[in-house]
Order: sequence, then C-alpha cells, then structure tokens
Amino acid sequence: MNRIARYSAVALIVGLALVLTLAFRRDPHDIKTGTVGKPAPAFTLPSLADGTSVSLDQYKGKIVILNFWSSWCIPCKEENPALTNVWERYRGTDVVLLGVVFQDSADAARAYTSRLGNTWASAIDDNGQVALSYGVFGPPETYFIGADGVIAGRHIGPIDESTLLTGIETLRKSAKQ
Amino acid sequence: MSWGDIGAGALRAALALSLWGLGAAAYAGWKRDARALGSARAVAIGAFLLVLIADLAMVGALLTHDFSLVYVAENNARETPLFYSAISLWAALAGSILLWTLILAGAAVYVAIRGTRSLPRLATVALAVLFAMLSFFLLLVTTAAADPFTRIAADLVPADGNGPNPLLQNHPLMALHPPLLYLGYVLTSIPFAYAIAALILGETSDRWLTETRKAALASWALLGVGIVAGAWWSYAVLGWGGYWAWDPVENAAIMPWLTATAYLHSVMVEEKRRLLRTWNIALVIATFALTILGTFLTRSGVVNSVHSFTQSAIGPLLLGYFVAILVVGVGLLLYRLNDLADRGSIGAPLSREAIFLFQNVLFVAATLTVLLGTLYPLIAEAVSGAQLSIGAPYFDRVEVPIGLALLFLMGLGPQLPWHGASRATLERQFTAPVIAAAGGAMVAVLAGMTGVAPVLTYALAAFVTATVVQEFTRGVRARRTLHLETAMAAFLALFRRNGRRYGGYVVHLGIVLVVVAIATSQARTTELERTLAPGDAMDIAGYHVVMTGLRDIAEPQRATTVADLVITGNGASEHLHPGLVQYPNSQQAIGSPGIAAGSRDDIYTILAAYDGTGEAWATIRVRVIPLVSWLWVGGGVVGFGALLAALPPPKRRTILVPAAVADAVGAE
Repeated sequence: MNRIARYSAVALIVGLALVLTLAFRRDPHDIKTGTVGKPAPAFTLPSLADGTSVSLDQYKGKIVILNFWSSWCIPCKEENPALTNVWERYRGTDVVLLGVVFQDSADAARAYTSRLGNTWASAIDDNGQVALSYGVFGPPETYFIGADGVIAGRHIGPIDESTLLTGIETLRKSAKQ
Repeated sequence: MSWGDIGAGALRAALALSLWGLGAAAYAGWKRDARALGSARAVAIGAFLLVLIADLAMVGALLTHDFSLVYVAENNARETPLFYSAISLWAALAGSILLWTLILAGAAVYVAIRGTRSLPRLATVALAVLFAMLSFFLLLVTTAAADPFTRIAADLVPADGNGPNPLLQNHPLMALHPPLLYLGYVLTSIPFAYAIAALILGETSDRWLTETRKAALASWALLGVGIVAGAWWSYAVLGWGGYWAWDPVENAAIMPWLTATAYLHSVMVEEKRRLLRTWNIALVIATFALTILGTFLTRSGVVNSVHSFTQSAIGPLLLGYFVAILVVGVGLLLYRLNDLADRGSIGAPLSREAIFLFQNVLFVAATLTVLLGTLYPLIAEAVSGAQLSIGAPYFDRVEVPIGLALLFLMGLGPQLPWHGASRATLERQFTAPVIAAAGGAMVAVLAGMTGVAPVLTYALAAFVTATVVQEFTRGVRARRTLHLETAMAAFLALFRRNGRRYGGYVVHLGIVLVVVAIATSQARTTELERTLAPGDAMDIAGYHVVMTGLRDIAEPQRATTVADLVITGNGASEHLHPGLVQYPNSQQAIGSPGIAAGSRDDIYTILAAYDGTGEAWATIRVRVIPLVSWLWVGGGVVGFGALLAALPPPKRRTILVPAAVADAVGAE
C-alpha cells in the first residue's frame, strides 16, 4: 500500500509538472486572427497631422509597414527609435512606414509625435474599426504588407530594428522575383 | 522621495527581515531558543508593517496618478475615478501579488503572536514555513517577475496613463471579489504551515487541527463568498445573463474550495474518532497547492481566460513554487505515513463518519474532474499538439450528478449518530425529511420543471431543509424543557452553546438556497430579443417592455449609450437603462446590463446593438431569470453560518445529563 502510494504520488507530481512546463510553449498572445496571408483590409482614415485622407490604396505596389500605436503605450515609446532608424533608411523608396493611432485621443497622439520628433505619417483610427479588421491584439503591433497587397507577417509587442530590416528585405526580394 | 522609492525600499527591507525571520524561527524551533523566537516575532511585525507601507505607497501613487511607475501608467488614467484608482491595487499582476504579500505577512503575524503562545514549538516551525513563503513572494515583488514599482525612464514618462481594464472599472463589486478570494487563498497557508510543521516534528497528536480550525474555516468561508461575489460580478457586468462559465480561473477558485469543504467535514472524524489523519493532512496540502495552481494558471498565461494577466517571468517561478510545495508536502507525508496510520476503522456504513468519508470521496472526485477538465487542453496539447477547449457540457454532465449526491449526503450525514444508527433512529430521523422530499418534488413538477436533475434538486433541497428544521426544533424543545427558556432564548442559546454545529446547519441552508437558485435559473430562464424603435414594445413572461428612447451619457473616463426601458406587468413598475460603454483604451464596447432584481425573478435587459447614426432603433434582449437573486442571498447565508460556526465554544462545565437528552440538544 505504502509503496503504491509513493509511486503514484511521484508519478502524479512529475506528470503535473511536465504538463504545466510544456504549457509554456503556448503563447496566449498568439491569437490566430487569420489575417496573415490574406489581402490587407483596405481603409481610408484621416491623417493625424492635418486630417486629409490616408488610404492603403494610395500605396499600391509598395511595401507597407503598418504600425499600430497609442500615446499612452510604453512599449510603443520603446520601439520608437527602431522605427525612426528604419524610416530614415527607407524614406523615399518603395518602402512606406505608416502609423495607425487607436485607443487614443488625437491631441495626445499629436503631442506624442511632436515630442518624439516623428516625421512619418500616421492616421487616426478613431473607433478602432481598422485595428479590429486587422485583428490587432493591442498596441504596439506591426504588420508587414507586401507589394502584392497581402499581409506577409505580423509582430505583436515592441519591435526591434533587425526584425524590421529582415522583414522588409525579405519582402523586397520576393517583390523583385 | 517618490512613492516608487518608498515602496521599493520598504519591500527590500521586508525581504531582508523575512529572511532573518526564517532563520530565527527555524533556529528557535530546532533549539527551543526563546530569544530567537522573540526575534522572529518582532521581525514578523516589522515585515508586515513594511509591506503595508509598500501597499499604501502603491495606493498613493495610483491616487496621485504618478505615471513614472509602469504599473500606474498601465492601469490608471487622470480620468479614473478616485474609488477605481484606489482599488486598481489589484487590477493587474504586480499589484495583486503585492496585496497577496500583505495578507501573507499578516498571516505570519497571526501565527507569531497567537500561535506561538498555545503551541510554542509547532507554531514556531509553522512560522518558519510562513517566512519561507513570504520570502518567496517578496522575491517576486522585488525582482522583474512582478515588481510593482518598476520605473519608466524620465524622458518616456507619459502625460496620461492607459486606465484600468474596462471590465474592472465598471462595477463596485471589483472592490470585493478579488480581495475576498486572495484572503481565502492566502489563509489556507496557515493550516498548511502547521501541517508541514507537524510532519517535520513528527507530531502525531491532533492539537494543531484545533489550533488551525478558525483559519481553515475563515479561508473556506472567504473563498466561498468570494466565488459567489465573482459570479455576481460576472452576472452584473459581463452582460450575458449568466454567472458561471467553467472558465479555467473560476475552476481554479472552486477546486481549493471543494477540498477545503471536504476537510472541514473529515476533520470532525479525526477529532471524534481519531481516524483519517493521513487523509486530513493530504487535504490540507492539496487545498494549499490548488490555490497556488490557481494563481499559476491565472498569472502565467498558459490558459486563455477572461482573467488572464499579461505574461511575465512570474510563470516559471510560480510553477517552481507549486512543484516545491507538492514535493515537500507529499514527501513529508509519505515519510511519516507509518506514524500516522489509523488505529481502528470506520465501521458501520450508516454512521456519521461513514457518510463523511463518502462525502469526502465525492468532493475529491469533483475536484479531480474539474482539474482534469481544466488541464485537459494542456495535456492534449503536450501529448498530441492538438488545440482544443473543454466547455460547460463536460462540466455540467460530470459535476451535476456529483452535486446531487452531495446534496443527499448533506441531509443524511448530520442525522446519523457516530458509530452507527439503529432502525428506530433511522425512522425517527428521516420520516419527516422523506415526506418533505416528496413535497419538494411535487412543487418542482407544479412549477413546470422538466428533467430529472431539477426535480431531484428540489426534492433533495426540501429533504435537507427538513433535516435542518428538525434539528433546530428538537434543540429548542429540549432546551425549553431542560432550562425553561423561551423559544427565542433557546434558539439563540443553540448557537452560543454549539455554534459549530448549528452554524454548520445555517451553512447547509445557504447551500440549499444556492442550489435551488442554480437549478431554477438554469431550467426556467426565458429570453426574447427584438429590434425596437422608440415607443415600440415587447412582451415576455407576463412583462410588458417599452423602449422610450436612446441617449448618450458622456463622462470624463467613458462614453455610454443607454436605452430607456419601462417595464410593467406581474406587479412590476421598473425603469431600466441597459447600455453599451466605450472606454478610450478599449476597442470593444462593454455591455452594461439593466437589471431589476426581485425575489421571484430578475428582469435582465441588454442593449445588444443600436443605430449609431440616427438613434432610430435598438436591439434589446430581455431575459427573465427566476430565483437568481437567491444565489447571492445564499452566498451571504453561507458566510453568516460560517461566522456562527466560528463562535468560541463556552467554557466546559461537567454536568451529568441523561444520554437521550444529550443527543437531542446536540451535546457531543
């Protein structure tokens, strides 16, 4: 009896620990939205700077890095230097960096861009419909849209420069082929 | 000095004290050294005060919107109302661990001051165990795992914060539900610490059971009331008209409550008959381990749930803690298995101890089946890589029969004497309850219940109620004969003389209310959804619902659209305002149901959709949910019964009473 109790207790603890450890492979943030690999949802939004229309259509044939952000979001500030570097590097080429502000007020967002000195365009997604159509989990989130208008990849959380560069260069190569 | 400096400094000092306390208490327990014990006592108070300062510093930072702290920037905004700013202490991971640490430090003070006076050596070792746990939690809040005072680089400090999770700033019950659960969770560490101490010292007497009875009862009651408060919050906030969804984190709270319920009963068998000692220690260890498992599931991000906090390094640390608790607890228990062997056996199947044992087996079966359902998706993914989820159908199918069997035993157990019952006793005890059960079944059928489970629930609820009423009547009658008291005086005296027993019966009545509420609301809810223009009406279950209009309400922290409804019929005259609330930090609107609560039924209204441009129409969903308010009342009755059961017993005077009278008044 005692021996059975000992063995089953050990087996139970080991089994439980194993299952719970393996569970860490799950990423609860990796919520499959099903938008990757599909055509990027079209949108027309007012620009943050002057309210003129910004639409995805006007960048047809270009590689679009769509970055969802908010002024209150701390990881957004952390990733800002990486975005600035990439913007400076690809400015005026076939690569476009476009910000989408959501869950935020326009005034706070404008104050944020002028304080950080961001010069790339951002659009205001006032009711969050565009974020919803892309399946955004929360700011910051970055979508890589190829020249063919298809979402090639998605990055949740603050992004770094090398991830941005790798993504962009892969898309450029496939666009040339 | 900023709030962040005060809090972070206090926590680091508390960690140093806690480690010192661990050493001092362990040395005092080992060498029976009075000076070391005195030092451990002082350190427990000091650590508690420091953690209290840290908690207050966090509340101060939230109230003054100090966005230089990541926690405040992420969970507070300038528009957040004062009340919700204060309770944002437990709105996210780091803050809730901070609150948890405070309660644990309080538990250490309790054992250091009260415990070490009545059972010096055992409580000293238990104190060392508590210091070890406290050190672990202080380690969490002083490192990246869950540091609530992490600062933002000066040039990145935002002008305004994100604000709390919309679901958490929408209802005042948020002030109640999490702290009650945390109190319940953390207080299970007191019986656990004593059990570990008893195992370490090889203490085979059951004095520690008596010593920790109040803590076990308090943690059980707080968990129970906390769970009901959570169900109520879910009902009043989430806007789906339900109150329980078998969500992994709900399951995590119910599992330790189930094992704690089993323990509160089986411990009586140990006290009366010196049986089930190993079993009781196993239940104490399991209850505590399950609270940690629940914490792990909520905070590691391994399950998807409405309760999931964001992922952090805390997951692996909590898993390590959980495994360590199991290894130490189960290891010590196995090591002492031979010393704890029972001398004697349960014997007659129709005795109170046999029913308690059977009831225990059912409670543990319920716990294991909930555990399996909760972990099954993880097991399946580990084994085959398949992603799946286990929903309510599994839990309903498995738990409802177990629940009904437990309801039956709840009526049976208290009516049976220890050691076994004669035929005459059975007749005397069960004639009235069986008649009542038949009456309950008839009421269910007349009320239009269909299906075996609801009818059986009513029958068993009547059965249990009859046994409780019978106990009180007999107790009062015996006291009136014996002490010549008035009926009311005799009734109150029952609680004063034997609060544990009669408080327990009050708890049973509370459970009956909960069970009847669940059965009726599940079986007899009616629902209707209509799209109405202002002035249009709909009829449901005898109620006439008119939508008089739609309007917008603007508040600094949120914007709400509400539908104004006037409800008449069945003697009701209610104005309800179900709405959809939009918080700036959330894409999705949060439903805010309009509820008219009644003792007979609740009218639960939801604004499902509306015309955002011209306010020309709104889709209104109305649910008429019978007896659901009994659920909240039942939860309150359970808590009140537990309070009665915790009343201190009167000083014993030895008097000779004839056996028949002793049995009737409940002297044990």
